[in-house]
Amino acid sequence: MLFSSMTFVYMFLPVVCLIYLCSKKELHNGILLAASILFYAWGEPRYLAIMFLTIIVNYLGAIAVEKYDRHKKLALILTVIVNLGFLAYFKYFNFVLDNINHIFSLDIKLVEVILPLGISFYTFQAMSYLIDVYRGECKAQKDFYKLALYICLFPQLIAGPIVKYHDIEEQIDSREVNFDKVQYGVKRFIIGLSKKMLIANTMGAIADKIFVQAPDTFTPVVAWLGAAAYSFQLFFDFSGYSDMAIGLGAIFGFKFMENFNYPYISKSITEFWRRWHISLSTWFKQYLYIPLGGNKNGLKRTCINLGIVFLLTGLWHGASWTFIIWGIWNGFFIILEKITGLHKDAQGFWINFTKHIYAVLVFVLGWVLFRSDDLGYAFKYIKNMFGSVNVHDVTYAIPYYIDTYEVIMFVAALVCSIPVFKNILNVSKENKLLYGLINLWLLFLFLLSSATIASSTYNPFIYFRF
Amino acid sequence: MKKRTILSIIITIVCIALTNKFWFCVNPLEISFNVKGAGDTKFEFFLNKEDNNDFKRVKYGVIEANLDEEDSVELFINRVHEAKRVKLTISGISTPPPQLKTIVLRDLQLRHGKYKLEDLKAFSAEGAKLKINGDKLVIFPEAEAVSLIYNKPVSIKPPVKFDIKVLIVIAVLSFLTALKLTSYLADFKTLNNASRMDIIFLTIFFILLFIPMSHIDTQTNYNKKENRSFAKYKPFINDKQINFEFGNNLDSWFNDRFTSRLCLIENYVNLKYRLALNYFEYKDYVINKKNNWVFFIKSFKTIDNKEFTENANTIIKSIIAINNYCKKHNIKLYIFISPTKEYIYKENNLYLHINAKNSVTQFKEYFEKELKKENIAFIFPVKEFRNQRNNDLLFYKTDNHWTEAGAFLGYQILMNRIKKDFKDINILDKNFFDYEYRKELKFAEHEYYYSSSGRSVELMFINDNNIADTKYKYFKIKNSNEVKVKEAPDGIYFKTIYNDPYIKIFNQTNTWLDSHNENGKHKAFILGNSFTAAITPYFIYTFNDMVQRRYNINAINELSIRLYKKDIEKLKPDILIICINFAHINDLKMLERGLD
Repeated sequence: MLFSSMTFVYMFLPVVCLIYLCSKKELHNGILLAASILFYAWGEPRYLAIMFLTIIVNYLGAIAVEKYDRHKKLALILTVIVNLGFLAYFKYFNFVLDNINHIFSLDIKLVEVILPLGISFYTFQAMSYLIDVYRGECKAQKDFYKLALYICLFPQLIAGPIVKYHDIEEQIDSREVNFDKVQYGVKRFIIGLSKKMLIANTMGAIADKIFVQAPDTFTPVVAWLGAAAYSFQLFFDFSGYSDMAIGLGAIFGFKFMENFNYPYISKSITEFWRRWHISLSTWFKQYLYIPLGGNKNGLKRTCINLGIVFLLTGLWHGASWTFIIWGIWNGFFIILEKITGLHKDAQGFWINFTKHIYAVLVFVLGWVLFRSDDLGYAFKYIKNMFGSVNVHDVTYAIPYYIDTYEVIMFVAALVCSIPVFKNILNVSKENKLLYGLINLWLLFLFLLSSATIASSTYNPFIYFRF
Repeated sequence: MKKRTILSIIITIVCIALTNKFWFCVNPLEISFNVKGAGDTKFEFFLNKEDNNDFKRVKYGVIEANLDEEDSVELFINRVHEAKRVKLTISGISTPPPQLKTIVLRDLQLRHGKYKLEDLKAFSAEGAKLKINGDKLVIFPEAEAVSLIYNKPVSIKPPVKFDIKVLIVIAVLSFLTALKLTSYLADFKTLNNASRMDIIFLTIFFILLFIPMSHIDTQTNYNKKENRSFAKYKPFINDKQINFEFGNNLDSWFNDRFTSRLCLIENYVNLKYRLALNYFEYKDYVINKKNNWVFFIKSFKTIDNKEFTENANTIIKSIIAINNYCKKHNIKLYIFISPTKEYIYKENNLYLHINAKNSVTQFKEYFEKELKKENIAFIFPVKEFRNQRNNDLLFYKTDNHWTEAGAFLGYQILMNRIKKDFKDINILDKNFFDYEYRKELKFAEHEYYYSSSGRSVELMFINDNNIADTKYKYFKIKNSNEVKVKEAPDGIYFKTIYNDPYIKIFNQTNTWLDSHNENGKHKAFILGNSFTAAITPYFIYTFNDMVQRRYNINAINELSIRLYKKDIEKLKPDILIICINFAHINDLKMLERGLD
């Protein structure tokens, strides 16, 4: 089930909210757990089995880590291997097989594997819990149902943010559901839904039109348009989902960490990664980078550690060389900044402006890698952006890609990428007029987003009677 | 306190007004009549509030009856406050609807005899002839549906029911609820710093969340606007087995049926349409707002060479197989492909780059070369259509079909090719017709109707009267009439009656037609999609026996010989014409299916 579907917004959510908000506190966890299981099972119930196995393995693993002090490392390693084993099989097995076939000119048949929804997210969440127990940062959860709730809590199950166990442990046991949280949560949900349906989908439609064509059949202007559109699509899609997750969490009394902090205003790639997908970068920092030594063992070792982290970050995103190269691309610039000191704050408008342009260039080109089906396409696309490709057989003119509505959304995307409306939800209630206008505006956005979702259900059979 | 009371009274009055249907209502209007005919028949009553025969503001009731024996029929129509005119539509029930037999109607009365439609001479009919036989009205149907209008006003005023008990209950409950609500809202101001604006905001939000679920349309199973069936509900446990697709099934079911679905979509799409400056794109169609030309986006695609060759070879193989079948049965095969509007009128579509190539030219060159080797007549008149495009419009601007001018041009090109093999065939020329110019689009099936904007525009939900800005040439065969068949929600249906005594039309449904013309030459079997309908009238006058069949309608989605072999072998035609448009070229892949 997706957040941006009629069934979720207008069937699942109102029913769950009604039951949850009208019931006693003691029942809250049970209701949420049942709702989360239903949410996950909606699309493909069989993959509940994988999630249940993950919960059971980590439940037993954490208890073993806590109980058998002398063998805690072994228990940790074994449980992590099982966790990563699930992930490796479902996500990477065919990728590895495909590469072996390619390198050794073999013809091993690929396995028919369907990737369970959200496996990357809940596996990392589960490992976060396990490692926290190992480090003594928290106690092993004896209540199976509470652990299950942590791992499969539906607001952040399929698209994050990756919630670390130590951040949420207390909230599972005791959290308050009050009017302020509910109203904040609803507003945050609406903002996220609007970002996704209005901006991200519009940008996505532009990007899809461009990336579906051969990379030498459109002009450099269109190539830049595609790259920009995709950059906005990715940001607003992902941050929109995070906003919805945070908003839903707030409705149910949870406070999740922020996942995005206006990454497109960054002046370095180091800063970019402090603002982009924060839950993932902090996860890697706490559970990989720091255990590897972090930046404590000299510059050379730091660079190696950063390289490993970003290689795995790329791999985490998907089983494809484009993702791996994208991870390496980011890692390269982070290392470069580390060496040159480019990531440090500087004075002067023009220096900062130039740094900002540099950062934008790096991440936009990185997104082209991220979006492309293969490396060949990506490199040709990037070459086209810089006019180094012989463009031929151009089919479409600019109006094919953008008209008034798309321009409006581009402007909205640009404006919402900078912290102009950062404190929109913190406007004082004393300022009644502004507060009222914001509420009205949010309701309007909700209706518009709902209309967009409704519009996607319209599927005329065009060829009939034609 | 005083303010709250006044506000509560206002809310109560509003509630009473909104619920008037419960306490101020009329008894259902009873209509009864005696009828005899044959078979299962549907009777639809329209009661017009206005004293005219337009029947725009109506109350409606329907009943089905088997007329094999004389039957006394009674139906009730709810909430008829007033009615001045009565219309009755009679039609068969099965699909396709059968030809109606003679119907005898008597004693048509309303409200238990208080209003009797006794003056039988006041009845007029469409689609039938009437005869009065004493107190009986005898109806001789000439079409699949018959419309009877009683041309005298009836002025029905059913007794009003004023239910004081219901009114008191509604009033008291509304007042108490309103008073409680206003007190609650007023007290919230100082409670936990909860702002009233937030309370109202959340209330509205949660009400909005429940609206789509409030009235799910479980009755509609087919949506004419979308030309598809709606998803059916499939339970979680079905035949003692778990339905693992329950979630996806429920998604589809809900997506098709939530409250106010089409209203929401229509308003959203119209908003986007108004915002668009040059182009508006929706569901694979794009409209150029500067000149109101609508194009199908997928037609622009240039197919890459590998995909094109694989595709083309499959189609060619299928055509060759059919040609071999035809040769075995002494039939000459002609494949006619109508070019697409997107190519013929490409200058009107600024979506395309000025130097854009199009798969049309790829296709034409390759197919003509390959099929020539097998001596198969392949007619794809791209150049001819391009040359003639500025005379009369060959395609509708806002629909993908060809106009009658386009169909006639296609007919002439095809027949000139056929004449090379069948020299005695006569080809109609322009003098055979009278002409008129109309703004509406004619939906070219054998029962056709005129639409102001076109199917593409309707699919795109565009309500813009300015779109219908062009007149199209309509060909009226000199010895023919246009007759109204029925009125339906999507328009008024007509049929062409050929008054030429040498022409007989039979086995006609909306989408296929058989004809015999004593003055025609040779037998022809025409197979194709909707593009055949516009060209069929010309074939009626050309061929001696003609059978026209259409695929891609109802449940028939494949163009394959297995569905028509029997009809072909029964007719034993000299000529088999396959007539489709370029957008459907891939349908030819299945053509040879059934030739085992």
